[in-house]
Amino acid sequence: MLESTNPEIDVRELMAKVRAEVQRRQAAGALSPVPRPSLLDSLESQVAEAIREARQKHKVDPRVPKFVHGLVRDQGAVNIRLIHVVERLAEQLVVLRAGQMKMESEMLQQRQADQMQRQASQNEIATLMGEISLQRQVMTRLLDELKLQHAGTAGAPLAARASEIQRHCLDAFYSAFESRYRGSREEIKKRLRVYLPYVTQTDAGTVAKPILDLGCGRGEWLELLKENGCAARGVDMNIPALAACNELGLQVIESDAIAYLRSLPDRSVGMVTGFHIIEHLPLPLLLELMSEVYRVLQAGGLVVLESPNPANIRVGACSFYLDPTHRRPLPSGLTEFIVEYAGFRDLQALFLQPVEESSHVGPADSPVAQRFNECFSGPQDYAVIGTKPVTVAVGRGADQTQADA
Amino acid sequence: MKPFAIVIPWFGRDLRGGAEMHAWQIASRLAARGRVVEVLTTCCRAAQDDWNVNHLPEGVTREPEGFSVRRFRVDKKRGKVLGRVGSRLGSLPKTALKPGVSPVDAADTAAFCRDFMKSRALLRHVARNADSYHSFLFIPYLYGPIINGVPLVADKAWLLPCLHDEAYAYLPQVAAMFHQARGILFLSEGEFEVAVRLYGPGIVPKSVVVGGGVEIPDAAAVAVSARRAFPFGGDPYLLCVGRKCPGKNTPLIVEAFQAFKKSHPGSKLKLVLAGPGSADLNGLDGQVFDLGVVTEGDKLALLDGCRALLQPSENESFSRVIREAWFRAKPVVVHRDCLATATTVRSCNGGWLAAAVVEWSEVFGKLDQMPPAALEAKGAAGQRYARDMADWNHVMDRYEAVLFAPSTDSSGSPRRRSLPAKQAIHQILPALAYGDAISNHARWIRRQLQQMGFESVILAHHVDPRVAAECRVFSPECIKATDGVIYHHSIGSEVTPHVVAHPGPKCLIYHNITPAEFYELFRPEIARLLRQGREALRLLADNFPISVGDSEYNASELREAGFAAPGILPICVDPSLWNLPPDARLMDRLQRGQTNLLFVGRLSPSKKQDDLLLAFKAYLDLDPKAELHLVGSGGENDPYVAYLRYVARTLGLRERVDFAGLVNEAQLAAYYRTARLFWSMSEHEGFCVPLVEAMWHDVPVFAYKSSAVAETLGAGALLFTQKENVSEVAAAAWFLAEDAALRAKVIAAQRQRRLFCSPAAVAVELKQLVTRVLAPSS
Repeated sequence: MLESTNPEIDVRELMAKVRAEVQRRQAAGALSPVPRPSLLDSLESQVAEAIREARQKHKVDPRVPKFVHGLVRDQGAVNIRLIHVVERLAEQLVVLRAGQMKMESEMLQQRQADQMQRQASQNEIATLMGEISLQRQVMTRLLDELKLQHAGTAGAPLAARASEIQRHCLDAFYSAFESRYRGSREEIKKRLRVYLPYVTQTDAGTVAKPILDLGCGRGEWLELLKENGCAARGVDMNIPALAACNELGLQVIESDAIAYLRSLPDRSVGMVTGFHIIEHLPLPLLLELMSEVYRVLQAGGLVVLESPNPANIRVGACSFYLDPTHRRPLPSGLTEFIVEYAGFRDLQALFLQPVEESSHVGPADSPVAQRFNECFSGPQDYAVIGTKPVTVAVGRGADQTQADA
Repeated sequence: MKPFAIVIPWFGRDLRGGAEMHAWQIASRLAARGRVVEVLTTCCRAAQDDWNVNHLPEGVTREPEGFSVRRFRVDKKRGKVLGRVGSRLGSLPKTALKPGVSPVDAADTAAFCRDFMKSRALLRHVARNADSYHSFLFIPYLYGPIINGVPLVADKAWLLPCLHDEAYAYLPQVAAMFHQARGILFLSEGEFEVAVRLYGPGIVPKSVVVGGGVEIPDAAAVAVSARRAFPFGGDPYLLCVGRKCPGKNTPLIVEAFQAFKKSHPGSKLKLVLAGPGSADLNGLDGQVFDLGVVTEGDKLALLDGCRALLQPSENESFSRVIREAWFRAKPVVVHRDCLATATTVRSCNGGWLAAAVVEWSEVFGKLDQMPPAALEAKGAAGQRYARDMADWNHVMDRYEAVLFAPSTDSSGSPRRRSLPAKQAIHQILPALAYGDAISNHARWIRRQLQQMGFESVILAHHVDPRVAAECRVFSPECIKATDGVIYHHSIGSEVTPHVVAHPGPKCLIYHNITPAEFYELFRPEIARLLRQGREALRLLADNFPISVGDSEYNASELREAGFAAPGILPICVDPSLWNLPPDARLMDRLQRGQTNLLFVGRLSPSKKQDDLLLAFKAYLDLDPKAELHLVGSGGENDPYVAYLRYVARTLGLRERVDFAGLVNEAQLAAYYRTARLFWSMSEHEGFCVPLVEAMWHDVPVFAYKSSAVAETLGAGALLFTQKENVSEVAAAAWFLAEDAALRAKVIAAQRQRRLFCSPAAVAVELKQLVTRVLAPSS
């Protein structure tokens, strides 16, 4: 957004400050939307005002001598006719405008329908691509197995291979499910922008402090980081998703998250993110995941975990369960505790994606309506952000006692 | 040879005031260089004597140094107004002072300026004998003979103000004097900065920093003093020379030194004070030494031995002792808020800056520990500066170059080149308007052409009555076949076929044509003219072998239209247009604590003031005190203007948006001088003169990157490339308005850039263009 040829001005730093300031004020409710008044509304207003003024000034001032009244009478008649003409024109303008609005509304509806159709087609294509990708993988592996068997080389039992392939059979389903229900790529990227200031503030995203995204899925976060010049890689097990990431030139690894973390040396990562992954894990695995995350993070590095917010009853009671791979809702307090238990400090909780105000009920100044809206239209997601301390924090989940600083 | 006059209230060999010592040196040294010099002064003896008493005889005396002194009687001052007003001015806090706003009412200022040291005889002599003198140098800026003398001989008057940022400097008569004087000479860059801040950039073209010399002391006197033992022994010390009083911030450095000693109890560093003052500041258990008044020799010896000189005063325009310290390669510490001394120290890197007690204390800590080489490096930097700016020979060279410049006559006008026959070069425009950039540029070009010796008029199809005296209505008969023609093209016009058909030498200046689509919704008839203007370009390309654009952006459109090798002639932006007091009423209204955001430009769909209103609405969430000033013409019946007013009303901005309309130069100066930020959302500019105007007024510019905007702003600008996220755009503008470091970076870059279209730079380009146009092959 900002550009400068002034070598004294760090535009990236300035832009980060700008975004952080905007986020801060938006979170505090201190920024109001600025709707653009329409030109047609302006014209209507001008016409109404002109007519009002003309009617007012049409009346002959009683201080004008009577003998002059005759002279102004004809002018008055002209004025009246002009006023009538302008009123007719104003009426026509209203009619035209209504017609235009109707046309615009129909065009908008058509556009939305086209978009939905397009999205549905894209989803179908994604599903098919996922299936194709999976089939390709299956074929490749079957062929590899056959070769191994034919060559007489000892390899993993066929049964174990078969179960691995079977596990990946759900990949295509999940990719298609995400395409339908997660939201468009652009929308997700827009939502994830809120985390960019945290990248900047810890200088993560360099080669020395790379960012690791667990459960990277379609790679929206990785793509956003790449656009901002950050070094990052993702981990996922969903083959179609990984294929899509590879198409975009993103660095991804096919692996189980915990297994991958175990393979990394201590203090080798600048930042770890996990968007909508923790609700898929049973508690023991979640604790193990946090322990590994703590180990691999550098001192001062951040962990960012986003999950659906069950404090919004619509989420906690219904939409959370739309994803069949979700295990149980995690209230933000529980997640915060888990993160702190793992040794992280300076925790922050962000509450995100409130439902649109058009869904709110009741008068805005009604306490009951306000409570209702908080419960049913509040933030749909939350994020917990924790910092690995610079000095030793002997967290229960962290086994190392070696100083980090 | 006509004598050169120096006008000063007091004058004498033994006077120790800064202005008086300086005046003595100028008189003596000019005389030594062969100039005839006469000092015009009063019969008063010195500033500290009674100004009602004529201690010295009236008449002319001759000094052994070769110049004469003519003394005039002072008039007795009557009434108590002077005392009352002087008291009031002296007691005003700095926060109450606003540039362009008189600190006392009009009647009081008039009485004060009339009676603050009054010598009618001196003024009568100046008025009656103005022609007998080569020119006049008035020193210093305050006092009746100066304030009332400069206007009498304005076109021959040079002012050496010795300016301080104090209440007197804000009087309107003082400001008027600065604008009326032919030229202003400054002792330091810092003093110049103070003047620009108080009186605007209009004085920049006629200002020169000549510097202030310091006399090299007698070596023997210093040698004697060096042998004298001072009471602080051989311990390292910091030195402060000058009157000891709160006005000079002496208590500030004593307090800071106390704080330093408390945090560094083991330090051997001492504080030495030398100068007049009633208080005895010896103390702090033998850490502070107050030597009182010392001899010149003692002072120089003290300078030689100190680690650094301290100058904590906020009211200095020059500070002789700083230069004395630098001559001796000693670094200095000055007050950050004294623009005069801080600017000089910053520019030559001859020392450090401090403001609050804690800062001074930290600097003392630094000086205590600093290795000698680092101290010497700072001192050496100051010494280099002093050898240039404080060496009397160099200073006098600069005085002579300015005061006796051979290429100017006494009126200050460049000599006119006489041509064997009067060649005519006329300008043709579709319209000559008031306050319009193209029209102003045409008027400037005409003056240049006339000064070059050409006959030149402006011919326009439409003429604004306010500028009717400066042009004629176009008719084909006005132009002869052999005349040169400069055609300004910016819109379709009835004059186009005539300029196409002109057989004589000609060139086209292209100011760009607003894309018609901006006007389709609002003024379809103007959109039609704009389209015609663009369509005409191809025809013009075939008929104008010589063409220029205001910018490379414009030149590239000419190239696309088929013009052969178009050049660039920037629009001249002459800061001397603002050499006038700004509108006082506006200055008062615009300095009531609000943040002023400014855009200057016609209210036009292409300049997108509607986008600016939306972004300003978001800005108000960040700074509810902000005001947006839209300066520029726009008819009340214009549909776009009506739309803007509707937007402002609907967004609840009526109290915070000022539709200023078309303003005069004094009002425009007031808007620029009080603006915090110049904010442009314009989507089409061929050059954009207001961007350069903002740069001259040190108003940082935040502009949407479109058309020629980036080119005009040049390197170092801060631009934005998207408008959709108004919150982000508003936040970025807010940062530029509020972040001092960011503002400083942008302003520093703007100060470099603004010179590219100065009168001197554009005059060179214009001369080359005229030569091409009149060359035989064209």
